[in-house]
Amino acid sequence: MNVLNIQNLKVLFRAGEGFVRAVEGVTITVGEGERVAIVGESGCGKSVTSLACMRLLNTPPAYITADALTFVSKDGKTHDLLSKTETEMLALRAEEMAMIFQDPSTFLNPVMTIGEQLDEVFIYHMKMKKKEARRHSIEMMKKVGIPDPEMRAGQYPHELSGGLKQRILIAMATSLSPRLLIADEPTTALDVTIQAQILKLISERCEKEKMSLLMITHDLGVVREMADRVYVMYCGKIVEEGTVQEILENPKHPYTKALVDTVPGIDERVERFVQIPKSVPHPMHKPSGCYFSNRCSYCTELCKKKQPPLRDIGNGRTVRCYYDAEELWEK
Amino acid sequence: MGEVILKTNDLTVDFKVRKNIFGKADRLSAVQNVNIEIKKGEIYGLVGESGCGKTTLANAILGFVPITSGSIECFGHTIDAKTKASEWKDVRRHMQTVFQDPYSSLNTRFKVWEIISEPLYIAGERNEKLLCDRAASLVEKVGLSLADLDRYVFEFSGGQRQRIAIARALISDAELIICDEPTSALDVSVHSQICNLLLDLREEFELTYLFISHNLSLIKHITDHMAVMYLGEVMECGATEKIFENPACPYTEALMSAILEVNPKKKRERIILSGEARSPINPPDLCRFANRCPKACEFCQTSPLPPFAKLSEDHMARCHLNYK
Repeated sequence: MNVLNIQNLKVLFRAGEGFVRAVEGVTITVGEGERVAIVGESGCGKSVTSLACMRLLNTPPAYITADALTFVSKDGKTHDLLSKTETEMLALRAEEMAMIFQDPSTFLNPVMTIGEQLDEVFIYHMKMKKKEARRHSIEMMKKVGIPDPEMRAGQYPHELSGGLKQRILIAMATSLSPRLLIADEPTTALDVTIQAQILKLISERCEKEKMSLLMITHDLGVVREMADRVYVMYCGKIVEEGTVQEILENPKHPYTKALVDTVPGIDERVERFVQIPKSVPHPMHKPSGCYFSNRCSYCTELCKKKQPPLRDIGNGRTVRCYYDAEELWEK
Repeated sequence: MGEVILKTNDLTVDFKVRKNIFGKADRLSAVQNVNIEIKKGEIYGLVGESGCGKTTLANAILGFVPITSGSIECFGHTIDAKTKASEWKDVRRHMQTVFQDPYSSLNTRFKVWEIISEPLYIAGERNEKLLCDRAASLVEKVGLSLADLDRYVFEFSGGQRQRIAIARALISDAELIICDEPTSALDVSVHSQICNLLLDLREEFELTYLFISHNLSLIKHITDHMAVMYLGEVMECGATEKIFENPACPYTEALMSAILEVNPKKKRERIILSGEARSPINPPDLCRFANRCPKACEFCQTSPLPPFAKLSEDHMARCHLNYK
């Protein structure tokens, strides 16, 4: 059963005279207890997709449409996220679906202590008294591995390091054991050794609370570490979908292949790096036809004219390319 | 590999921090007794996490922050805490830098040719035609077109902006280019373009790079020598190949194991460090990594950091474990 079901999601932003099509018909499903990743570069629409699911985009300037955007809560009810009012969404967020953001320092309120901010979750959603809420907060802080939680609860966000702040965010997001956890680049702002700690913590929490995970990242290493299934996005469209093992070992789309190839293995030293020419097109001036056509080394006339459809190639994999990968790589 | 062009002798940079205006100033130790040697034509890597002092070290070499003690020998000059600004200017002519974020390191009110030729302008060249010509001679070498010279930076993507920054670093014929995380603000698909460009330019202009990064896998692929820094101190340094083959400091090992492997066939043991780096303010005279080190024993927690142990030709580490 799918916890989150996104069918043909489109998000437009009004920008000056025209529109920016940030997400163009994305279909993503997250099963129960499944760990799914969306991978792509900045501007590919991966964050907008997750924000649309949480209904955290202001409308306008954003315009969201979808054939279906449904979420199944713990009691088995199916919710249509697009038709919910803000009040109904408030009840759903944190209790049923929660999100961790990239930069913990902008997420936390600088004029409230860490303890107060954690307490809010319990006071608002569980209608607890202050003292009881604090007891739960401290308990949560222990669960996410914060040393000396009583002292930390009285501190303000600026007194904490980035890694600790991210732990606080994880504590907040997972305190009511939601059904779905969305993590939007949770380790990008952190150091490598702290990244290892945080990734481990997220997977532990997901396993323990039986949460589904939607991981948004640009790092294929994180994908490999954290996900079972992955969607590759480019310029607002999904270009490839499959299990992590399959995609990393045997990519079928030229973009995915290029991404995998640009990361050299650690064991052997390379003299030059494999590079993708040019850069990501401006969201208002995407190429006609296949969006990757101007950077693709296998591009043909057909690619420049018409956008390829998402093809099912069996084995639970889909790819947005006219050609079979085996033929392409031989060229 | 040629002669040594830059050498630091026990270079130390401290900052003074005060809790309030009446209190006694605390000592924030940003760089502590660093000795590195950069040879002509090589790429010297500097790795470490944020706050470990790698950028401060680069800034000290460029003269952006005052040296507290120790000295830098470069291009025939010896620079220490007492060196006058006029001598600094002489030395700095040989060095240029590429900053991390091309969105903030380029002046948005300048045209591209003005940005690229600014180092020459500062050096005293006022002939506009000549400045423009020099910029034009470089712009194609970094992968931009002549038409781009008359544009403003907002029209360019991150990767292109970084190319402009690289052209600016090249124009004054500097020998040593300090690259401070030149790729980390860019899109993943553009990383390799910039790295390849830097490698090509090194051959063409016979450059030497001091390459600062927190990305160990990048450092492995492009550098000849490297130093691993932790909280202001160099923990291990030497030939890149040797350090990767046989890391002698537990911190280096942990950093290496934190590299995320993409190939699903490869399985690696991961060392996950507990806790976080201690505060650099008034640090005790111990191994600064001891509180997180998975191999630390009581001896590490109580005795001062040992001097560098020479493990082999071109490989040194500073750890008690190498003395047992």
